[in-house]
Amino acid sequence: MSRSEIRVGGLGGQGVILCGTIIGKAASIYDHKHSGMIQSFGPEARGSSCSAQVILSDEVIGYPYVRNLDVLVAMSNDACHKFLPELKKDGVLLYEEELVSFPEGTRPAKAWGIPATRFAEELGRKLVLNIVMVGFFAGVTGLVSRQAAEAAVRDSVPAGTEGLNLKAFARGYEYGRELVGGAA
Amino acid sequence: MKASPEGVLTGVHFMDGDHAACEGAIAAGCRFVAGYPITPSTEVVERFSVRIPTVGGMFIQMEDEIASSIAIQGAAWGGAKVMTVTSGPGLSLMMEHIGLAVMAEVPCVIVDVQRGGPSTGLPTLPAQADMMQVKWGSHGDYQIIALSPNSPQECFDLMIRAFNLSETWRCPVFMMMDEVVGHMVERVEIPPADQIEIVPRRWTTKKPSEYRAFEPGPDMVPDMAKAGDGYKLHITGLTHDERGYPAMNVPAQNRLVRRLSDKILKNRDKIVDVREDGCEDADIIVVSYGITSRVAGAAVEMARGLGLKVGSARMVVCWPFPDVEIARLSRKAKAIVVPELNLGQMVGEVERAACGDARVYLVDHAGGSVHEPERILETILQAARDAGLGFKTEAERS
Amino acid sequence: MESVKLPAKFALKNGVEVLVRDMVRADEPAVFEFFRLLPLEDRHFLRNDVTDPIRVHNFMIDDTHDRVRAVVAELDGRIVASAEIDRNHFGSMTHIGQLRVIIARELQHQGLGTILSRLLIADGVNAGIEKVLAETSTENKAAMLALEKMRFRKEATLKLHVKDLAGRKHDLAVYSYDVSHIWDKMEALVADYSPMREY
Repeated sequence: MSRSEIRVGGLGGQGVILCGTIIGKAASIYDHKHSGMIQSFGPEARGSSCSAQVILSDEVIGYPYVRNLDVLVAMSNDACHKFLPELKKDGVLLYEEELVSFPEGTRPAKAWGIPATRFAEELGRKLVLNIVMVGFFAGVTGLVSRQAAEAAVRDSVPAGTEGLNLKAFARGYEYGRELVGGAA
Repeated sequence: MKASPEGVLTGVHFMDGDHAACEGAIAAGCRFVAGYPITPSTEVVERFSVRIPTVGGMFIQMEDEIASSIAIQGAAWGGAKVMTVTSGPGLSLMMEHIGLAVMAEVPCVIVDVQRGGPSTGLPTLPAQADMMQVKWGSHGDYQIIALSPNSPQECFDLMIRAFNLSETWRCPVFMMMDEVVGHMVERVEIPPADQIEIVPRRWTTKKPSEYRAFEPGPDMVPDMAKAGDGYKLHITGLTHDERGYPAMNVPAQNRLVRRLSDKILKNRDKIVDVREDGCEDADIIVVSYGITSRVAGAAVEMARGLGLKVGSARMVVCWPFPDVEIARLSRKAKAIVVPELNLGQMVGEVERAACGDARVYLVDHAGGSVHEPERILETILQAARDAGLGFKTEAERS
Repeated sequence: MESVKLPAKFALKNGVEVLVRDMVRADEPAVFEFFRLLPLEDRHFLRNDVTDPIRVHNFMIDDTHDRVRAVVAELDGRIVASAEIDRNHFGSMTHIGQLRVIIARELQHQGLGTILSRLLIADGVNAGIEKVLAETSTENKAAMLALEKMRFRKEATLKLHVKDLAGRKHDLAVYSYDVSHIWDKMEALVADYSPMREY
């Protein structure tokens, strides 16, 4: 059974949950897999550390939480170092490179950074940084297809903002493809 | 009859159980909700409050759960399909009026998105510890119906069934969700309205002069009268006769209270829903419900991988308790394993039904998360050892 | 509002079909020609003397603003309209988009202005612009009506602000279209609290 476990972590207000939702939606609605998303819930979701757990699977999902983390998407330093210990040995870390730093020698082997906030600002709106991360996730891991992820972005963002959000997705996706050496 | 297309959000969605439950209620025809928002159930009423004005219904945020649980009963007698939504602390406050809904036979749905208790407990974390409270929380003898969804999709599907059951049997029906099912986001498919079967209100066909409000039909359930159509009603929580007037004597009590229980228990075959998987030749059967049934599924798979014959029986309806089904299963199996997110509630019912035919093992959990599948597996293996069943070790397997 | 993929053809009210495409540097001679042929009374309201090739060159390479997008409409190989939305590079007004539309006389009142404006507003929104500004002399009733139809609101009238060719002073109407509500929803969506609203 193919099961991928993903955690998206960051600060409340960065769109952490939306990022997780779009990944899950892309997989379950547009890639026709099974997926489930659980967000950390409660007062801590506002302003401080916040995270979403996404499970992608070829089969019906039983246990709904992360047990063996395959991919950590970190949008803040706190979230990165809080959740890094649960990342499995050869797990993939995707991080906002201008917000996350590693003490000498602690950067995991499979770690890919992206200046997502700067990209979002360059595109015109800092608040699409989470969509840049969705694109980066799709581009680096290939766990959701580009078409599915784009459809999920289009379907999840408010009417009128699709254009910029899709641009943000493409920016992250292409940056990710380039980093891992695939054609964008 | 089929659901009204108005308000049915046909299509494929990626939504959490709370939102799906709300959509289920709207599709089922619910047009009145009174509630006092409480985590982890808040999203149900939050969504309802936004959605319902578009289909011509009403949401009232009440001063508390006591008021919520009685406001819906007023609206039900006014003709609406009704619901209230809460979590443990609110449910505790509703108990008195749940008894009234039983006694006055008010069709209503009560959603309990369970969180850790007692008291305010764990507002944002799951439990399945209100299972006995919904059955026994109000005073007196009575039966209710309780459903236990294990996914956002079922929060939609079972919500429709909950409304249908409440209209059919005229009693409070509980949707026993939990924080995980309420907040987990998954694919939810909402069918077209013409594929959703709805039970309409049981309106009487009798003339006002012939109508007696609590005269039961052949299924032991009385029909209701439309407010404003000239019927005279007296509705009371006191023991009443078939006209609805207080009759506080032993025969009336015996007749009424027995009927209120019997209409559920003697019709239990039409209500009970147990989903069995691999139980035919199973030595050990895992009996579970709600979110725990999903985790149990993972444990069952692991145990089968070790060469054990393990079946799974999932109680989609927890009340009325499926005692006939559990008794049948326990006669065939050597052991029954019951995981639940409490320190032992439904397991007592399982023991009662198993009646010593199979040894019953509880896998408890104080709440706040779900079981690790390994913990359930451990108990399955213990049950196997106790029953003298051989199985491969994890090392042999790999 | 999704960005319109250009080039694209649009039919006008009079049945004429124009080609709308992004303005490119190679358009400089054609743009110069378009401006040169504008009647004096139209040219008078522009910021620059567009009969001066250097001014047009500067317009083409516009580096005084952050040009979000500039487009031209073409008919039979001629440029018949030019439109742009730009904003400040820096400071307190980077979220404000300034909309400028110029249309050849023969194609005025055919809905071309609205087509170009809508297209540029969508781009503005997608570039993060929250408020779009447009100015017109109060003499230009058609432009005012078109702006109002597009949900622009008259925000100010600068009294006796502009002079026509004869030196007569006219009011200048400043219209704005606040598109920030579109982004408010996105803001709510990234608040990381119960974001599952799709109703």
